[in-house]
Amino acid sequence: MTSIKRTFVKTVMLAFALAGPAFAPAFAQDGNGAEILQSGNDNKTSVTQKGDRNEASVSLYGNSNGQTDGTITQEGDGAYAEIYIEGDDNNFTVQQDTASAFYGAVYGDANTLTVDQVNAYSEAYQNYGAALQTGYGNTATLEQQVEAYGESGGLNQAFITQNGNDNTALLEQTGTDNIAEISQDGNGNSGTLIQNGVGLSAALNQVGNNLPGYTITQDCIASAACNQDITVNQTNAASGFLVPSAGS
Amino acid sequence: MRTKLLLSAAVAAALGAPAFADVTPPPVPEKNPPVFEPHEADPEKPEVKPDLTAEDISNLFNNKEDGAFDETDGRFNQEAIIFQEGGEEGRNRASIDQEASTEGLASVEQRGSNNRASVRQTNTGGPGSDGQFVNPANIAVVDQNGNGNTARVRQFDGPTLAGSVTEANSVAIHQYSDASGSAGTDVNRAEAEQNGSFNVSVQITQGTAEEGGQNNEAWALQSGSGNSDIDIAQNFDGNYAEAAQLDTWRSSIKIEQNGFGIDADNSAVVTQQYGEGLEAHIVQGGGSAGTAGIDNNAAILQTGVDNVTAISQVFDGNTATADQSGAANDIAIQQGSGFFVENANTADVVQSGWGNEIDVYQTADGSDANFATVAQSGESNELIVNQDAGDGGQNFTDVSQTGFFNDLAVIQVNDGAGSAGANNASVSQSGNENDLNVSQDGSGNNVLADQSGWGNTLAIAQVGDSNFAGADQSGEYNELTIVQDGEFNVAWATQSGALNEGYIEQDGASNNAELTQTTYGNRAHIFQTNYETGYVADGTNVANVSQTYNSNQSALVVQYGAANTANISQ
Repeated sequence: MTSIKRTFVKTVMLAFALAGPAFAPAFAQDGNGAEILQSGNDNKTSVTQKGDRNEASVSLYGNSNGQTDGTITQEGDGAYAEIYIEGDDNNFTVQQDTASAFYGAVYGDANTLTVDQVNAYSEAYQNYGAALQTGYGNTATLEQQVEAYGESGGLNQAFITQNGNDNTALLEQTGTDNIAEISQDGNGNSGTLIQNGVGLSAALNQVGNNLPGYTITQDCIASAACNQDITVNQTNAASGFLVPSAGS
Repeated sequence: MRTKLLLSAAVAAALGAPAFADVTPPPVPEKNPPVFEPHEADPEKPEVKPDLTAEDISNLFNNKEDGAFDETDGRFNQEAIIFQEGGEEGRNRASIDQEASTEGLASVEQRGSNNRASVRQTNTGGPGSDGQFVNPANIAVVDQNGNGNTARVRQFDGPTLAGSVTEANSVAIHQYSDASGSAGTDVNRAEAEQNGSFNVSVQITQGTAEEGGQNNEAWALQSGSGNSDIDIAQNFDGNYAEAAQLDTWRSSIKIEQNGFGIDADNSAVVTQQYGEGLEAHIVQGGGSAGTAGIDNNAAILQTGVDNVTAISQVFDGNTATADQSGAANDIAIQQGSGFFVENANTADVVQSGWGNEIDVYQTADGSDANFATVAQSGESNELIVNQDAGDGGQNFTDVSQTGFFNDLAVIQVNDGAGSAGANNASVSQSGNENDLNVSQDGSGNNVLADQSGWGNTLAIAQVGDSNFAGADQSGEYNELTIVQDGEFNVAWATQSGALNEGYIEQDGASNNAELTQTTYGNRAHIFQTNYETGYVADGTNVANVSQTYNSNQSALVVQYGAANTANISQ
């Protein structure tokens, strides 16, 4: 939960960062800032950024925002993206490259948030993703993949927090030394956590009743010690089941 | 006009959290017509007036019976008075040649048609006993009543010493017809030429509203003089007047042509070169006679310092041309409309130098159209084009300004709801530290603005629906602002160069904004907020920001309402 709280601090910080970017001549598409604020229903929005160290911020107030086209696409390294959504039936997709960070806060029902982060190098360039959804029937998907070095790189961190009922969370990570955590507070929530690599850490916290289930899968690809941790905390009622990973 | 709200540039400082309370009105220029301010007299240049002018003498003619003017009290050193009376084929000839040492009077009064009068006066006033030149004051008066008459008057200096000669020559030519004018009649011709130092005046009157007279020609030339005036008044239609002042100072030329009916077709040409403190006024179609002449032509050429060009044309179908170079000069052109339909006013203005001003004010009504083409170059100049298309008219302006520290403003208004393309402005400005301002009120308006240099500001304000604003700004440290209040407006802006600020605000629904910025350190802001009606009712706005291949840029898009689309590409 502490990581989610940082979201709001970063929101304020981004505001100032956008207001006064350091003007320095450069020849790449680096250090750009984009901010979109939409209030109303059925809006569409997209941010596309190439180059490194770019920042994007999108705030949506209303229903059915971005239903067909709500995206942030950051193709360079070291990108920062944050979204803030108030409303129902919103659909938002974020794609980021190496060493990127994402913070998302969604308040409303039936919202769908999909974040895809790729680490093209190694654990020195880890990605960070944190998503908060408060409401009913929301879906959050956060994928962090290490591409160039197969499953050897990593140090990625992913957090999904959902407050409300009937929410669904999916966290998927590849690479080594990754950390994944799903926290759900409410009834009828379900979480899925998939990790492929070595030195993995997975945690699932659920508070509520009528929890239809959760899945944690850790696939260790190392021949030696895997050093994998799984923590599951459920309070009140619980009906989940655990599938141990192949290498554990 | 509804109040427009413009987020000030200071909002950029709070880009992350836009404060909508911090709004200031957009910089909309004044819409008043140009005002002519008289020049203050120069105390170093003495103003000497003759105790009796040709105009006074001419009035004496008119107050007496024909041929009754023969008393001058012996005040003239030389005196020649001719009275000739003829019929339809008068064909009288009168010629006076005077070499006057002090004061000479030459007067010719002719009745009938096809008469000719010729007067030549030369000042030979040498130095008096005190070594100073005396005060030669030659007066020439020609009064012709009939058709096809010709008057020619020339007044020349004798030997002069700079600063010591105070002359007060004057010419008055009056040509008219007792019979009310009709096509093909009258056709009088007046010529006056003066070469002196002080207080020389030429007054030519051809026809009056009561006496008729048309298809007349008037020519006047003054050179090497100060405190000189040329006044030409022509009534009725088809007249032509041409006046010139060369090497003169603190002098003026005024041509007034009062035409009647649809085809006045009066023309006036003024040339003032190498002068200082000169004024040129051409008034066509709306003078003291209060008539309704249209299709007039006016042209003024001025060079020098502290000069004023003013052209006033009432009603439509008129053409005004002004060419001015030098410093601290003013051009003011006013063209009216609304009496007849389907006649366009055209103004062509060229001005170069520094500290100059241009004011063009045009009105149109019905299906009229105004065209203003203005080019200004130099430093610290101001340029205002103000066009009012009325209900159903159209305005077109093409303005270019080059140099430093210049201001440019175009104001266009039309009342016709939904008349497409009512106001059209094409504006180009190059140089540094310049301001460009276009304001359009009405529907279906178009602006194309182009600005290059650094430290420039470009502002476009449009009120109404279906307007288009296109702006292209190149250079560094520039500011671009487009504010549109209405629906179905389109704003496309490009800023090429570094460290520029772009701002587009659209209040209303179904608007389209595109802002493209190149190189580094630029900031883009698009606000589609429908601030007046609240942020829920309208929408369907589209905002696109493109900041590609650059770094350290920022983009902000704010949209209120439904079904909006926002795209930022960096």
